[in-house]
Amino acid sequence: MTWQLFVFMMINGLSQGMLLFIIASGLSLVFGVLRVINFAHGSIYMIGAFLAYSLSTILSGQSLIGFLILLMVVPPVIAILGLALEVTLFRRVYREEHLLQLLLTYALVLILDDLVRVIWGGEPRSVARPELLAGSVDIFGMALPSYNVFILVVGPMIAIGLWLLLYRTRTGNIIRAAVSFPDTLGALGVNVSWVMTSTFMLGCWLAGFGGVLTAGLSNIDLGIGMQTIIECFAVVVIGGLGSVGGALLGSLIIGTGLTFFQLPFGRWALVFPYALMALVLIIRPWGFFGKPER
Amino acid sequence: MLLEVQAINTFYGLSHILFDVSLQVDRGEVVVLLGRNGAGKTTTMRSVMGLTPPKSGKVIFNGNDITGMAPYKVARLGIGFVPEDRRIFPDLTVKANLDVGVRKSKGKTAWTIERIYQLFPRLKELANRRGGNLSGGEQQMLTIARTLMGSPDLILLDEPSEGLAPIIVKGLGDFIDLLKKEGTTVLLSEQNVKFSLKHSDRAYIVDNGHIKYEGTIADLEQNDDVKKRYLAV
Repeated sequence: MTWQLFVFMMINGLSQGMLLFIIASGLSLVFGVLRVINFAHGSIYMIGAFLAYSLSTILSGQSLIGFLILLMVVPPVIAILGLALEVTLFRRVYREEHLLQLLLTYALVLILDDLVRVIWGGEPRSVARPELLAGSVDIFGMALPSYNVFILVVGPMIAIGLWLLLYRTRTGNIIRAAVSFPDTLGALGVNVSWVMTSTFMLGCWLAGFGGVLTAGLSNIDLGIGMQTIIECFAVVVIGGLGSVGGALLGSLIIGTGLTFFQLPFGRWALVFPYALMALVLIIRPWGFFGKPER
Repeated sequence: MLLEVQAINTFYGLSHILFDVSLQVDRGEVVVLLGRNGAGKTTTMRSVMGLTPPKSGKVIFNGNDITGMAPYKVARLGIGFVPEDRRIFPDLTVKANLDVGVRKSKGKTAWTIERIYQLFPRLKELANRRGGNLSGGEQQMLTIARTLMGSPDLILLDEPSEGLAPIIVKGLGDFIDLLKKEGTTVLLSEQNVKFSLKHSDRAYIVDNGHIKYEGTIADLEQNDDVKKRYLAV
């Protein structure tokens, strides 16, 4: 392997990983605060991707502005969808047993996926990349796909933004306190149910953002929700459910691993995330950054 | 009357814990709720706070009926709760734990982080330590300080002396005296009789979910029968 190929694959793998991180961090964050594993996270992400497609046909053209508008409009819309889901459905099951939570979120997968089928049909769609991001950029004499480089720039921005929010603001303190003792937080005068709603909205915002980025990266179809939620599970199992730092590590390992294993193993590379997930479950069931359940 | 609990009955699931419990706390008083483990002290406080709402009866605070109100609303009206098991947020630093307790102050005594640090210099030294890495005494300090950050009019202290070394318990007593001097009303729950009698104005004795005695500390000191029967003194 030449070093050019190595860098090329690294860029590719890291950008895949970053995209996965944006989506998986939402799943992990929501689990940390709400203690509900949201199976429908992938479906919500898929709605974001298809919404980006629809909006892009209206906006027309391949301007960078148009694409930035997608990134600014779609995630908040998905967050509002999250608001509706949390208030009407999710908050009823926080204190219920896991099986009931599982049933609810799985039912949502079926409903939302069929909703996408009804609205957008079964054909693959895609969002045309803006010209500026459609070509390639020269770095060290190599032509790297500029869209991947773009994801590599945006991904860390999201990661840093999330970190600043969680570790450098009072809101972040409150979110992390809710992870440990929601009742105590409530007795201190914090409206915990609103904290949960907003965290869920943030998780959906991240899913929507990932959806827009995906729509520009590759074809989107009815399968991406399921495919992504499974990859997200691998990510959070490896990194530790509830840990955003763990989601970052897990995403980057899976993104780069998938890319590099594809060269020698072809399709068999798809086994890698699950093999790694199984390994982590055997050695350290709570993941690299997670904590054993109290 | 700052707090008035009127004949509340509280359940955990199907088990009946509090039976027609009534008590009053006047503004500026330190009132202690004495009783054995499992007598219903914590449940009484949780009922006031709305964490375990009573099935019947009323809780009146400052003229407002707060029975069954969500805990965060109760807190915003000016009641601070210091749980027995402390519940320090383990992943947050000491400073962040305090920060979470801040409320837009409505109480008379507005606490600031500077005043807290003045009062508990140890917390200032530990400001950047994770809450999970504190000793028992430090945690107790922090959990009280965190509740004070909300500048409550009434503070519910649930068994604060439990598990603390005698020297720290003494500091806690001085601190309760200080709160009283500052005009904060205190409802204390305790098993440590000597400690409670020293720092309170009035006492209630609760046993098996019933209030068995109420009176001033001076009266209780005289009443050997009650002391022998419920307090094992």
